Formats: sequence, C-alpha cells, structure tokens
Amino acid sequence: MNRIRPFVEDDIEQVSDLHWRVFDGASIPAPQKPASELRQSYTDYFERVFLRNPWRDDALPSLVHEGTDGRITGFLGVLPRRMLLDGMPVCVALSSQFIVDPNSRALGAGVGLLKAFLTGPQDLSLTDEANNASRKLWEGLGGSTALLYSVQWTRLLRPSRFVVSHFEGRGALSLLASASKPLCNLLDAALARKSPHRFRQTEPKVSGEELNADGLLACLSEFSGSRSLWPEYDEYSLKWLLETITRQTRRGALRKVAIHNSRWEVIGWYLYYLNPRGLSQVVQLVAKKNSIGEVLDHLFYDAWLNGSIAVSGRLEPPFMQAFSDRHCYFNCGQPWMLIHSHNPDILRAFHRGDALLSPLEGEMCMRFT
Amino acid sequence: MKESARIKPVRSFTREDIPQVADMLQRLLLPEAPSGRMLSASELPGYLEQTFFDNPWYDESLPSLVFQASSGKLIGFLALAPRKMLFQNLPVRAVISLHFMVEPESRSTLAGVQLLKALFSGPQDLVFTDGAGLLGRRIWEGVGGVTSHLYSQRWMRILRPARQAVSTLSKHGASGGSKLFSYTTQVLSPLVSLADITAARMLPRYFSKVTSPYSEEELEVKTVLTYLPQFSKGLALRPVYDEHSLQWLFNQAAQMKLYGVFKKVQLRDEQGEVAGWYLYYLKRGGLGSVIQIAARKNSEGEVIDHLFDHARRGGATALSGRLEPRFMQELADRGCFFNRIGCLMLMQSNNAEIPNAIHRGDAFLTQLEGEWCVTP
Repeated sequence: MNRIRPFVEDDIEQVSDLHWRVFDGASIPAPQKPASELRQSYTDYFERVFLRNPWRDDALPSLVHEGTDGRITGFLGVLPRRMLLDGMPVCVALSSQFIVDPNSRALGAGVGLLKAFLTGPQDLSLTDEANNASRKLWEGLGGSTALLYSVQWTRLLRPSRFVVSHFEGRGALSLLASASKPLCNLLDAALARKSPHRFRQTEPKVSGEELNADGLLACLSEFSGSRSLWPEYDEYSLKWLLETITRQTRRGALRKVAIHNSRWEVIGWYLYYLNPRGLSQVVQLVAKKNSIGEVLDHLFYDAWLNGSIAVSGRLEPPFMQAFSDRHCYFNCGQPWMLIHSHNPDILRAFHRGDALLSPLEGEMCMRFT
Repeated sequence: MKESARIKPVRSFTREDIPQVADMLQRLLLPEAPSGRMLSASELPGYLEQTFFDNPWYDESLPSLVFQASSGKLIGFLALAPRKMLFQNLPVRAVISLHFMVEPESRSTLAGVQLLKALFSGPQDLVFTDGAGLLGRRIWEGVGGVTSHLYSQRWMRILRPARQAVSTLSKHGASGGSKLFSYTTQVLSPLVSLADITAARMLPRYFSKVTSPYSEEELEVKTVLTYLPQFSKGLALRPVYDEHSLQWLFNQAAQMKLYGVFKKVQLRDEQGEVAGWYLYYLKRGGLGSVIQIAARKNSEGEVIDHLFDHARRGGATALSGRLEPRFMQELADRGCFFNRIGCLMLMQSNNAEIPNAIHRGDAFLTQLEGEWCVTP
C-alpha cells in the first residue's frame, strides 16, 4: 500500500536517486545512479538542509511517498521557519524540492504529499519557486498565489550587453554575441552619455559598509516594525543561512552591504550575488520608507562598478514606485510564491504587500547546487 | 451664529457649478497641449453635464463634490461616477473618483482633505480611482484610503520590435528637437521593416502571426451582457451592466480618438460559442491601449494571442494595458513585461473585505470599469 511518512536519514540514497533522475538525468534509464562524487554532494545536501537545519522540528518533517513495493516515489522537502505577525510568533513551513517519480504521478503521489504537507500544524505553508503545475495543485488544495511576491524587477546597467547576453550559448549566435562585445561596450557608453539619468550610475551620497551576521541581525531587529509579517532569526539560524547561501558560488559572490546616512544611521541594507559581466541577483533589500531611493542607487552603483550588466530581484511591494522611478521593469509569472494558511490576517499581509518575504526567507537556501 | 459658520464648505456639485468647475478643469488638470486631450475648453461644460448628471448610473445620493470658500468661490472639486457591482454575489454601490483638484493658492486650507473625508463618509460601499498620481496617493492614504499595488501595474507587449524602438527613440528625438534623427529614421524605414521581418523569422514565438482557432466579429452589447456573468464567475467583485449603461460606455470609449481607433472584437470557437472578447485602441505605427479582456476558462491564452495578432495586423508596434491579475500567467508566458508607470489605483471601503478582494486580485476590474471612459 502507498504511504506518506517523514523523511529520515536512511532515505537519503533513494531520494538522491529520485532527484537525480527527475532533475538531472531525466533521459537516463532508472537503474542508472549518480556518480560517487555527486552522490556525496547529495548526501551532504539532504543531511544539512533537511535534517540538520537550525529550525529542525519533528512536528514539521520533510515527507516521502512510498509505493506498494516500499520504493520511494516522491519527496517534499520541508524547512520550518519562524516569523512574527504584528509581534506574535508564526510557525512557517517552507516547502521545496517537490519531486515525484514521473511513473507515479498518475497515482496521486504529488497530491498526497502536498495534502499531507498542507494539513500539518504550521500557521503558514509557503513555497516561493513554484512552477505553473505546482500552482494549479496548490490552488486546487486551498492555497493561493501571492501575486505581488511573484513579481521580479530588473534594472539594466549595460543595456546592449544585456540584450546580447541572451544569445550566449546559442550556437552561431553565441559567436556573434562574443564578437559584438566591444561594439556593445561602445554603445553602452554612448547610451550613458545620451541618457545619464537612466544608464549612467553616479557615486551615491550615502555610504555602504560590509554587513556581517551580527550586523544583519541587529538591522532586522531594528526594522521589524515596518511590516505586519516579519522574519525572526537568532544568531545561530542567521549564520547558518548566510553560510548556506554563500556556498552557492555559481550565482556569484554574496555581497552584504549596510547603508548609512550622514548621521551614520542605518537606512537600509542589501544582500546580492554579484555577477561581474552578468546578471546580479538580489537576495534581500530592505530600506526605511523614505530612503529606498538612496539604497537602490547604492546597489545599482555597486553592481555597475563591479561590472554587472543588470540587477534583478523580487519585488518589495511597498517600494514598487521607487523601482519604477529608477527605470526597473517587472516580470510576472513563474516562479510563483504560493501560500496556504487558515489565518486570514497572514493571507491579508501577503495580498496587500505587507510582509518581508525576500529570497533569504524562501527556497534559495534549499537549492541543490 | 455667524453666516460662515452655518455654510458647510463641502457640498454637492450642481448644474449651476458647471461653468466654474469647467474653468478649473481647463486650468488645473488638463494638459495644455491640444494633442494631449480630446475636448476643447468650450466643450467642457457639455462634458461635465453629460458625464456627471446624465450618465446611466446617476444617483442623487452619490453626487460629485465641490469645496466652496466663504467668499462663494469654488476652490475644490471631486467628481464621482457611480457604478453597480456585485461583491460575493450581492449588489454593492461603487463610485469612481476623478478630477480631484484644488486651487493652488488654497491648498493650505486642507480643502482636498475635507473633500476626500466627505467622500469617504458617503453611502457607497466602495470608492476607487484608477487615475491617481503620487500626490493624490499621499492624500488618500492620509485619510484612510489604500493603494492596490497589483492593479497599479501595467503590462506591455512589443509586436514590432524595431519599429517600436524607433518610435520610442523618435519621441526622445522630437523632445530634444533632433530633426536629423527624425530624418534618419524616415530614410531607414525600409531597413526597420526588414529588421522586424527578421525578428519574426528568428523569434516566431513572439513576433509571428498566430493561427487562431477562433473567428472574430464585432463585439455586441448583448454578448457582454450574456457572457460577463459567466466569464467573471468566481471573482469576488465584478461589474453589473445593462444594455443602456454598456452602450453608453462603448459610445464614450469610441469618442476617444486620441488613443486610436476603438476596436471591439468578440471571438467564437468552431462550434460558434463565444470564447471571449477584447476592447482596445488600435494605433497604427504606435502603442495600442487595451481596455478590457474577457475570456472563458481555459481560453484565456488563445484570446490574448488573438488580440496580439489583431493589433499586429492592424499595424500597431506594441500593446499596453493595466494588469488584470487573472491573466498574469498568460501575459507573462507570452513575452509581456510589466511596469508601474502611469496612474495608480487607490481605494477605500468601510467593508474591509472589498479592498482585500482587490488586493488579492479577486476582482473583474478593467479599465472599462474605471475612469478611462469618463475623462475628457
């Protein structure tokens, strides 16, 4: 008989195989296994993220779906997190790595896993990198889409380089893209001269300072009254989180910067993966209501100075106007942020854009890289 | 008691106020350039009379408001256009607020705040504006209104990339007085067309003709009346029309030639069933503006594809519209990008559930339901 049960250490090998078959080796026949080096990476990953995370709670385990033959045919990774709703604790279960063996999809393994997850004891179920199929499934089971938090913004810093970058890795077009880089550099310089307000980054008036885990914890605590729903960290969990995302070097080097005004007060901060010659991705961006412009300007200048061609990140709804005023454009659609809660106040906070839910609070730290 | 103490400065807008309000409108709100508006100064009194006293939803209990100084002079105005809607299948009274203006020398009197406070204490269930600026937002939020971030976004779809790029650059060139640029773009026009043909060949998913499973015809009022309840089913907040009110809106929209030719298209499937419709302004060689898209379940993508193809065939270089959250996925999947340029949607209600529904995108609230069709 099929059954859903908590994920335990002994399941790692089977879940690794399943993950590898579904995501990395889809075209490879099932009996094949990942290479030993990759297997070790999988073991480290599943252990560290799902069994040894700082929020580990036996009441909120990751889940596996077992077929009649005892073989694992589905997995749903769960990471408990803590938030505050108007100062009151909220238990969050973040789901990621929702994997189902293609042969078991018709048997309802995915629906069963998700149902079991959503009926857990948490106040809020959340996933923030869902595709269209998952969205349909969540909404069918009573969840909803946090549309505002499914919007990404992008700010072009070197526009022609950005356009040409889309042709990289596309056969003959890739050669053309490489050859046109000097021309793009000239064009970008010309655009910066022609439209300085849009494409020329000037040295910001505020100053930035490297932010460590303690500093970030202090900042998060200081700014915690600015939204109804706010993440809660302690020293250990935040250090674990920063260490985990710093390991994801494929995205670039993680930069953590606190922004000070002339009175040396913190007016905001940002964390982002700096990708010289590519798209830099923001992990968290927080600012005081009237200082968002200065924080954004500092971020754009920092990324531009270090060679990025564009910066992008998840929309912070209260700052939508500031992003727009600084010539950012938005992309909507998958990956979606999906939520499920029986507490209407939590849902309202998402729908009106009154939650701090940056990628730092999301699945980013649960990615297998 | 002194005379001034007995007169309430905020009162209902009457027909006798039309000349003064028309003058304020002309001076304070409408762009000076003739190309930026539809009506001349002499036509404004007629517009005010028709739109705010002779509209199909006219309701004496929901009048537009004026702020009258103790001297008798009108120094502030707030226009209201009532609409009928359903919230969770029960009738609600909505009002669109527009033309919020106060004489510059009187702004320190808080006339604007008092006008809004009077509006918010009215008998309606929902008041909203979808044409607000940043200053209006500050005042609304200060008096208890909220911003809908979702409905304040717009989408844009490029249909002819090279022509659209030239059109955008031309505007910059024109504003900078660059005749050379304008001349160059004219000379290079065949090359621009060639670039668009190449783009269509290289990126057929985005720029090529789409073979639609639907046949098109002119949208009829009775189609909307018949199918709107079905196409908006499941949404918490939705509009209610009758033949007279919808025809009035269509007539208003058709007069707004500044935005292009008003197109009303309904689509039928092979069985002759209505799959959806769209309303938009087609601008040959320019940016078209979409007013409303409606589609039956699971036909949303095909209706949007048809719209893009229709505009492309008509010579538009791009299309833009206000984000309708229920189509967010379909628009994103079809290469649209989004921005927050232009007007904001602000709202206020004493029933907190109504703004909550709008916040979560659970409303059929297109530009046809907004102030678009009642602006001069």
